Amino acid sequence: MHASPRDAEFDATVLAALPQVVRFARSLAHDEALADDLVQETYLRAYRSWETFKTGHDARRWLFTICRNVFLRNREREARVVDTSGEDAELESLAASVEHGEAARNGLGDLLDRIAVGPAIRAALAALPEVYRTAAILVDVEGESYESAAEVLEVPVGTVRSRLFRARRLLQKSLYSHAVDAGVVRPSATPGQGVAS
Amino acid sequence: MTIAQLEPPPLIDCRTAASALYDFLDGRLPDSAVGAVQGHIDTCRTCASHYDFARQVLMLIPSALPLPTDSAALRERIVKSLTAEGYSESA
Repeated sequence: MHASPRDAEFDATVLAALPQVVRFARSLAHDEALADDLVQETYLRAYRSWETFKTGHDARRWLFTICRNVFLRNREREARVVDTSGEDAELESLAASVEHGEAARNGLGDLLDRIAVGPAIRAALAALPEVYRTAAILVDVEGESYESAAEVLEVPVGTVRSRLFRARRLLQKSLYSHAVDAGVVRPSATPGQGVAS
Repeated sequence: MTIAQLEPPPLIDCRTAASALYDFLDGRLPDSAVGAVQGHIDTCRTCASHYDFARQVLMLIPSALPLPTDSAALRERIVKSLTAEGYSESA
């Protein structure tokens, strides 16, 4: 069967981005079966509203937006209401540096050479609250710009920045904890718990 | 070359360098501030250590989440559901 030009373009533009959408959906849903349902629903909505997609625009970003909206709708928008008061990008960077200083003094300076980094990062990302995880996935995994991520998340660029910095700081802390759990260092050397004697 | 171009970047302290960490690593720091941060981490072992650590983590994140290679069955499922909407897959 020959595809119509419309479907051929959908194929080349939208279906081609399936692996990225699957990865994004899995990062949102955690559960593979749920993520697959989410991806299927995303594609169904994308197909139904294909006419609204502007040729030349970033199809991947469009799909991420649909995917996240479906995900949030399925969760009854619980993640849309996020108290971002108290989030400050500069303070997040500063706190990350302070924590790193403590960790380095406690012998965690070369931890990336001493732990299985891949599983540790996956676990750390999975443990992040959804708003922070999504910002990190879009920018640090998918390579989207702050501006593109802001479009997908429907928030100002400054919010993406502070969420991203919080995500990275939490990720860093999680890696330190992982090193402690893995027995790379003694528990007393965890950042924030004082210097081991 | 003007005298201004020969002037060293302004000195900043660890707190300022730490606050600029991710903007610097993401290339979002204003040009006017990049030299000052670079100058600080070139001379401060503590800040250099964290900048290096953070840079390494950011580089490792994408490889920790490789693109899934097991989406063929899902693709088939999607195509089937789209077909019910009138879609025809390209040969």
